[in-house]
Amino acid sequence: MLEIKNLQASIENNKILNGINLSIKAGEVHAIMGPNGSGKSTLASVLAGRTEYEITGGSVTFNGKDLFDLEIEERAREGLFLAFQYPQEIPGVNNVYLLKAAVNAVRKHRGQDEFDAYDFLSLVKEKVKFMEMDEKFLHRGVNEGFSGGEKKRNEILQMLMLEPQLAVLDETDSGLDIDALKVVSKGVNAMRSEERGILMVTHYQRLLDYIKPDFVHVLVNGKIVKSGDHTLALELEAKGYDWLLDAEAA
Amino acid sequence: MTTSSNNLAVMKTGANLVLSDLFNSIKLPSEQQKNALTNLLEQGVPTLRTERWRYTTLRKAISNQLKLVDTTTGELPQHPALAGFDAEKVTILNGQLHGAISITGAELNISNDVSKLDSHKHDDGFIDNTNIAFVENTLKLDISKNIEQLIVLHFHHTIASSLLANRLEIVAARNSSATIVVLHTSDNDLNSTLVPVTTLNAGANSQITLINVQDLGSHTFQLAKTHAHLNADSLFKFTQLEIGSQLSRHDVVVDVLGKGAEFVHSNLLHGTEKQVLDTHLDVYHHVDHTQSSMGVKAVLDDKSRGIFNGKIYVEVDAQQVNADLQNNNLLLSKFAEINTKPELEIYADDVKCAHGATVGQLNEESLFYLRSRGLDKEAAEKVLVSAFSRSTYYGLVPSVLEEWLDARLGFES
Repeated sequence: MLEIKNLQASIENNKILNGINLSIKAGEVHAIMGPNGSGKSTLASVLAGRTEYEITGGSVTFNGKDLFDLEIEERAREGLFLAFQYPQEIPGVNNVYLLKAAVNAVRKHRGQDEFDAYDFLSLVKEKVKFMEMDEKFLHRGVNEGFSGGEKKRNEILQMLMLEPQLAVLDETDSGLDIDALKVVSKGVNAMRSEERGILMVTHYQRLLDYIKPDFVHVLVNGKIVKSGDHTLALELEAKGYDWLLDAEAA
Repeated sequence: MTTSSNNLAVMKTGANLVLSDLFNSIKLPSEQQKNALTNLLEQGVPTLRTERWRYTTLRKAISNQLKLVDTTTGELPQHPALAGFDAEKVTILNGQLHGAISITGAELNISNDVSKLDSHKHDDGFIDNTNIAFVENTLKLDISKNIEQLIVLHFHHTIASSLLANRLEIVAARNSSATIVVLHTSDNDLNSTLVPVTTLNAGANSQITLINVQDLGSHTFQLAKTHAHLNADSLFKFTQLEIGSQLSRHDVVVDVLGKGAEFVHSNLLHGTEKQVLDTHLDVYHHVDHTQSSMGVKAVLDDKSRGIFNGKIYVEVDAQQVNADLQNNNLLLSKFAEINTKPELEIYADDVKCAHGATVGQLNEESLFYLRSRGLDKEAAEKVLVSAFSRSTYYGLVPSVLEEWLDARLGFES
C-alpha cells in the first residue's frame, strides 16, 4: 500500500530525513518512535504534502502511484489521512460543513454519490457519540476554542467519517489525559481492518498500550535504525533511546 | 481678503463649477439648500490633497456630464435581495417614494425640510452639504414604539449621468425599537452619482438596528453618510455591507451623547475588479459610561482598493468608556490594495479602548488543513474567504438576507 524508498527531505537546507525505507501493507499497524528532532513529524508532513519541505531524494508510492505527483487534496481523496499534531483552528467554518465537504469530495473521487443531508447527519451523530463528543461541537467553528483533547478527538472523528486507506497519526497521543487517550485509541482501533493501514508517529510508549502495533520502528537522525514488533516499544520504555543513539554513532 | 480669494480659487476648479452649475438648474431652491451650496463651495470639493480624501478621487464621480433627475419614470425594481422578505417594503425609485408603510408605530413621510442633527459640527462636511443642496424629498421615518416587523426601504436608481441626493431621517422615540433594512441598488451600467444621507436620532433607551446594503451597479458612484446621535441607554447596531458600485465613499459618524448608550458596528468592504470602497468611521464618546464596538473587514480581489479610516474620540469627562475598533483585511490578489488607519484620540484617563488592524492573505496552515481533508485549493480558498466575510453579517441580519448575501457573494451555504 505504502512504499517509502530511501526518502530524503530537507527544510531550509537542513537535512531532516536521511534515507527512510518503510513498507506498509493493508491490515498493518506501524508505529514510528524516536527522540525529539528525529524527523518523525517531518515524515508525516511530507506524506501529507506540506510544501515547506523539499524532497531531495528517494520515492514514495501509495497504491502504486507516485505520491509526489499528487496534490495535497488528491492524496486525501486517494485515501491518505493525516491526523494533525496541532489541528488548525478555522473560525467561521462550521465543523459539520467541513466534514460534509470532505466526505463528499472523497466519495465523488471514488465515483460514489454524494451523501444526502439526512443520511450524512445520522452517520455523523453516530460517530460523534462513539467519540464521546458533544453534538454541539458539530456546529462550532472547526477546532475553534476546542481544548487539546477535543481537537484530537475531532481529528479521529474526521478519520472515522473519511474512512481512509492509510491513516497517519502524528503524535495524536501527546497532550492527552488518560480518558481522552482511551477514547482516541478506541476510535483508532475501530478503524483497524484488513484493508487499512495505520502509521502512528509517537514520542511515548503509552499510546501503544492501547493500540497494539504490528511493527515498531525507531527513527534517529532521519533514519530508521531499528525495527521490531511491539516488544521493541517496551524495550525503549525501559532503556530509553540512548543505547540506539550510541549504536548509531558507533 | 485672503480667505475670499482662496475661495475663488477653489471655485474655479472643475468639480466646484459642476456642482454650482447643477445647482443653478434647481428651479426653486430653499434657503437651506442655498446655504448648503455656499458652505459646499466655501469648503470646496475635496481633492487628493484633502487629508480625509487622499486615497479617493472625486474626478470621475463629479463630472460635467452630470444632470439632475427631472423625470419620475422608471420601472419599479424587484430586487432579489428582497424576494424572501416577509416585510413592509417601500421603494424609492429615482428619488420618488412608491408604496407606504402600514406598521403601527412606524410612520414614513416626505418632507421638503431637512433637519440636521446639528451638533458638534459633524454635519457640515462635503457629503452633508452636497446632500442638503441637492435633496428634493427628505424621507422622515418616525419610530414611536417597539416594532417587531422588519422595515425595508429600497432605493433604486435608473437615470443615467445624474446626480441624486436621497435623505432618510430616522427618529426613534424614547423606549422604541426597530430593525430597518436599507438597500441601495442601481442599473448595472448606470454611471450616476448618488449622495445618500441617513441620520438617526436614537431616543433614550431605544434600540435601533440598521442594515445598510450597498449593491449598486458597477459603474455607479456613491458618496454616502450615516450619522447617528445616541441618547442615554440607547443601542444602535449598524451593519454596513459595501458590495457594489464603482466607487463608494461612506462616512459614518456616531455621536454617543447619553450615558449608557452603546454603538455596535459591523462592516464589510467586498471589492472586486477596479472598485474603490472607502469608509471613514468616527465615533465620538462625549459622555461617561458609554460603549462602542466596531469590526470592519475588507476582502479585496483583482485591482480593487479599500480605504478605512476609523477613529474613536473620547472626551475629557467621558470616563469609563469601553471602546474597541478592529479592522481586518484580506487581500486576494497582488494588485488589490488597502489603506487603513485606525486611531484613538483619548482625553479621559479612565477608559478602556483598543484598536488594531491586520492585513493579510489567506492563512496557509488553514488552507493546508482543508486540502488535506480533500477540498481542492479553490474550494478551500472559498471556504476561508466566506468564513471571513460572513462574520460581518451572520447573526446580524435576517436569515433571508444572509442567504441572499451568500448567493450574491458566491458563498456556498
